[in-house]
Amino acid sequence: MQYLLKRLLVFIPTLIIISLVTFFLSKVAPGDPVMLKFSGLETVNSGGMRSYEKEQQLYRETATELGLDKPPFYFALTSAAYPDTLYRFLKQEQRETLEKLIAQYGNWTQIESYHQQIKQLEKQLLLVPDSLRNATYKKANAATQQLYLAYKNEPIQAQLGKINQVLSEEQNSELSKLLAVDIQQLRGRYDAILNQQNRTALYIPALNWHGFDNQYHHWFTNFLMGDFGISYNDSRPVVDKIMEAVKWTLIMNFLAIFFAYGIAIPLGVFSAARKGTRFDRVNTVVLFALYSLPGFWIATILVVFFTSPQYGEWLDIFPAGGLGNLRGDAPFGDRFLETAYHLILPVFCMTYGALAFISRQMRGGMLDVLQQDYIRTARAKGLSEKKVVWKHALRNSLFPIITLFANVFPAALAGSVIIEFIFNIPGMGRLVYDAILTRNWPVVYSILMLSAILTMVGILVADLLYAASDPRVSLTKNSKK
Amino acid sequence: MKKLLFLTCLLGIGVFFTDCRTDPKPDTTTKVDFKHDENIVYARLRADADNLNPYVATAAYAQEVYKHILPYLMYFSPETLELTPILVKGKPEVKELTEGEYAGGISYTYEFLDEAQWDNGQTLTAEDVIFSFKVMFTNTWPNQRAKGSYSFVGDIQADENNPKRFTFFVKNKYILSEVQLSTITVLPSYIYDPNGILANFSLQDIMNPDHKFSDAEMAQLQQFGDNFMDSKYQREKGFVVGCGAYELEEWETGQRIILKKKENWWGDALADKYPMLQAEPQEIHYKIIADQTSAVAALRDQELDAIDQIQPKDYINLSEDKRMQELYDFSAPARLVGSYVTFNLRNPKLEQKEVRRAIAHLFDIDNIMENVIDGMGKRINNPIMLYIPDEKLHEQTPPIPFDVAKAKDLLTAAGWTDTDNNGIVDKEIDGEVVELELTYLASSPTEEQIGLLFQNSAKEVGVSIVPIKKEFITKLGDVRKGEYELAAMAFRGYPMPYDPHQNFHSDNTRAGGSNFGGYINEEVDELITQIRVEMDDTKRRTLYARFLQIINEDQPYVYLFSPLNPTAISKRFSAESSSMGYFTNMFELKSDVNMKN
Repeated sequence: MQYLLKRLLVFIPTLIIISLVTFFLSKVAPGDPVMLKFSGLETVNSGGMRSYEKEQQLYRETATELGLDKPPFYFALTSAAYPDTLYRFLKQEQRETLEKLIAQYGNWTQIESYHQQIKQLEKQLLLVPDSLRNATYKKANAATQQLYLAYKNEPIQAQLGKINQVLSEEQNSELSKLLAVDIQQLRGRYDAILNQQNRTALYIPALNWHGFDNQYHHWFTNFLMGDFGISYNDSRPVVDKIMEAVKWTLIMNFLAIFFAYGIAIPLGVFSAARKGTRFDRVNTVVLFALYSLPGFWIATILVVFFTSPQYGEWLDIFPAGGLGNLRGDAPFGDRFLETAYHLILPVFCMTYGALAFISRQMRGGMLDVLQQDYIRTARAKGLSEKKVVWKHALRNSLFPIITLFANVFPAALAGSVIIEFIFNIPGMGRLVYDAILTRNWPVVYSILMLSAILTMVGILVADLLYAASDPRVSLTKNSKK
Repeated sequence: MKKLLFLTCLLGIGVFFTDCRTDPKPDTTTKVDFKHDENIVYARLRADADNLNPYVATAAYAQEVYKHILPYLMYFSPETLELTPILVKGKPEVKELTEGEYAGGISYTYEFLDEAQWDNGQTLTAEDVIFSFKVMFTNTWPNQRAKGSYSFVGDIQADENNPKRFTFFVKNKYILSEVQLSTITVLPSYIYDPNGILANFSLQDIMNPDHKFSDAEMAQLQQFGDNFMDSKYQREKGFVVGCGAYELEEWETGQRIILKKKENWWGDALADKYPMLQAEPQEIHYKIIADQTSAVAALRDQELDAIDQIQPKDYINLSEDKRMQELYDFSAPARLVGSYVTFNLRNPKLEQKEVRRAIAHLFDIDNIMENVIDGMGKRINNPIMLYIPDEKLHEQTPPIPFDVAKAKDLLTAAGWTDTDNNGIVDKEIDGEVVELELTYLASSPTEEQIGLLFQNSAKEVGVSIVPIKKEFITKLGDVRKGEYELAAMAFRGYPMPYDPHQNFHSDNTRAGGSNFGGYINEEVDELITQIRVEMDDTKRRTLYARFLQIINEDQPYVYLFSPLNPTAISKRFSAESSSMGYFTNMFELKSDVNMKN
C-alpha cells in the first residue's frame, strides 16, 4: 500500500513532465494552428471580394478563439534581447521572422521599429489610388509583403531594392511623392538594425513572468478536468471523438489479448515442457513464420482473397471491412453476431503476431525456470510433471509475460493504425492517423497524454503483478531486510 | 536444410499471392447475381464528414451528404453543368444598380417554389433567407468562414407583395456573386433557433461589424451561438433537418451515414419539371472507406453500388473483369481537378520567362500521363480549361510541347550555358556564377514520379533537378513562405466563370497569398480587374483570351494534366456520372435485375 502510494505520488511530476513535453511539441510542430483551424484562410471561396484587411481580422479572431493571444507559458527564460510581449504578434510567420532577426542582431527596439515601418508602408501602399498602381508600384507592394518573411540580409536588401525603384524609376511622380517618406524611413530603420546591433544582449539571460493566464495553464488544467479541447477540423470536443473511437479499439484489443495470451501461454508451456520434441520444433517454426509475417501484408492478403468471390465463390467467406450494415435499432443479438463476424479478420491479424511473440517469451521463461534447483527438488519429491510445470514453474516463468502485459494498456488505447485502416474500423488507430494527417493537434496530443498515463499505469500494474506472481519480489525496502 | 526448404516454400507462397494480386484471373464461370435488391444506394465516402451543419462543416465529404438534407437554392446539373434550380423557380433576375445605396452594384432576385416547405409544413419564404444570413453573421459562434464567404452582400430584402420573393443587394459587380448566392443553404429557424432569439435582431445590425449590442442583447446572442454550436445540430437525427428529400437516419462515426427519404416529400411531384429535385432511392448509405484496397474489395463483394476516384490500375483490372462488367457500369468522366508546377519567380534563377518556358518544354506530359496515371488523364495548359472547356477559347494558346532541343535553345538565349563543362548550365547573376540547380517539392507518389521523369529530361539540357518529398501540409507551408524553387500543386475547377485573382494578381503575392511564386504583370492585373466585373460572357471571353496569351508566354506555372475520374456504378441502377461526379439521389432502381436474395 505504501509502495502504491509512493508510486502514485511519483506519477504527478512524471505527468507534469509529459504534459510539458507534449505542450512544447505542439508549439514546435509545423503548420500555423490558425490556418489549420480555418483550413486555408486565404484560399476560402470568399466571393473574391474579401479584402486583405478583412482576412487579417478573421485571422486575429481565429487566433483569439484558439487562445493564441495569451503567452505560451508561465514564464519565458530567454535572453535580454527578446521582449516579453513577442507572443502578441499573432501571425506565426511574422513572429518567427522577428525571432530570427532578434537572434541575428539582438536589438529589439530597432527591429520593432522596422517592423512597424513595414506595416506603415503597407498601409500607405493600400492608399495609393488605382490610377497610380503601375508595375513599379506592384513590385514594391509585393516586395513589402515579402519583408514580413525575410530575415537574412541578402533577401531583405533585394526586397528593399525593389521598393526603392519607386524612388529611382518614378522620380518626382505622384507615386514617388506618396511613398517617398515611408520608403526612406524603412531603409533608415533597416540600416539602424544593421548599425546598432546589440549582440551582447543575446548572451544575457532574462526571465519574464507571464502569470497563470497562459496557454499551457489553460490546456493542462482543462485536460485534468477532462476537457481535452476542441478538434480543429470538426469543432467537436476531443473527448467525444475519443469516447466514440475507443470502444472499438478496446473490444478488438480485449479479444486479441484474450486469444493471444489464452493460446500463447499454454503453447509456450507445452513447448518448453517438451523441449526438443517434434511438437516443439514444429511449433517453433510455425511461430517464427507467423511472427515474421507483417500485419499489413497479411491483412491486405486476407482482404483481397477472402472477402470477395474474385478468386472463387468459395473464398468469399468474410465481409470486406467495416462493422456491418445493421442499424443501431436492430436487435442486440443480430448486431452482436454481425459485429463479431466483421471482427474476425482484424482480430486475427492483431492476434497472430502477438501470439507468436508471447509464446516464444513464455517458452524461454519456462525453460529458465525448469532448470532451477527448486524444480529439481519438486521432481525429487516425486511430484507429477504436470504439478511441477503448472503449479511450481508457471508462476515464476510469468515474469517476461508480465513485462509484456505492461504494454497492453497504452496499446489498448492507441489501437492498431494499419489494421483499423485496412479493415475500416473506426477505432483509436484511425483517429490518430487521421488526426496526424490533418494536423488536428488537440486530438493527437490528448491521445499522446492518455497513452503516457496508461504506460505509467501499465508499469505500475506490472510491478504489482511481479510481487503477486513471485513472493520473493518485494516492493518495500523494509521487507528486504 | 529443412529451414532453407521452409523459407523457399514461404517465398513461393509470397510470390504466388503477389502474382495473383497483380494479374488476377477472373472467375468467368460464375453466374452473376446482385447481392442487394432493395432501393438503397451504397456509396463510398473516402473520409468521414466533419459535421453536417452546412455553416460549420469544412470537408467536401460533408457537403456530399448534407446537400440531400439541406439543398442549395440552385446547383450545377450533372448533365448540363449549368446552375439549375432546386428550391427556386428559376435563374435569378439580375439587375445592375445605377442609383441608391448600392449604385454600381447588382441585385439578384429569386423566388422560392410554391411547394417548397419545411418538415413542419411551413413554406419557405424570404424570412428564412434573412434568418440564414443572421445566423452567418452572428459573431457568438466561430463564424469566420461563413461570414467571410458572404461579406460581399450588402442587404437582403423581402418582396412586400410576395413573401417567397427576395432580393440580394451586392455592393460591387463580381462574376461569381450569382454562383455564390445560388449555392446558399437555407436553414429552418424553428430547428436552429427554437427560442426565436434572432427574430429580435435586425439583419442590418447583425451584419454591421460596428454595431454595439447591449449586454442583454449580447447575452441573448451568446445563448443562440452556444445552442447553434451544440453537437446535436452537427450530427444528430432530428436536429440536422432541412427541406431536402432526405433526413439523417443514422451516423456511425467513421463507418457510415444513412439518409432516409421523407414520406410524401413535397419535391416528388415536381421532379419532372425540376430534375435536380429527383430523389429516387429510399435510402442512401454512405460507407466511409479510406483504404483503396478495402474499397475495391468492398466493390468486388458488392458492398458498394457507387465508387469514384478509383486508382487507374485498379480501374483497369476491375473494368476488364467479366464478372465485374456484368455487375457494374464503368466510366471515366473528366474530373475538375488539375495538376501544375509552380515556379518561385522571386528566385533570380527563375526570373526570366525564357528559363520558365525552357523548363515547361522539359515536362513530357504525354509520357507522364501514359506511365504515371495509366493514360487516365487529359492534358491541360491553363486553369481555365477546367472552368470553360471551350476549344475556341484555348486554340490561340496551344500547350507547350515536350522539346528538349527547344529548351536548350531557350536556356542558351537566356544566357545559361555550361561554361565549366560539369554537365550543369550556369550563368553570372549579380556578379556571382550560379548553376541551374533547382529543387522540386512533391508530396504525393504521383508528384514524385512526375518529378523523376522531369529530372531525367532536365538532365539532358544541363538543368539539375533535386526532387524533395515533403508531407503535403509541410510542402504547402514552404510554398506559402516562398521557401521553394519548383513545387507540384493541384487545383479544383468548377463549371463557372474563372476568377484568376487568387493565383495571378499581384495583390496575392503577399506572404500566404495564393500567387505563390510572386508573379507580377501589370497587364494581367488590369485584365483580372476587368474580368472580375465583366458580366457579359462574350466580352469576358475576349479578356480571358488575352489573359491566356500572356500567361502562356510568361509561364508562371506549368499546367500538366487533369486526371479522369474512374467510376463504377452498379447495374442495379440507372445512373450517370459526369465531371460533377455522380448524384446518388438520381440513382433509379431498375426493375429487371437478377437478385441473389
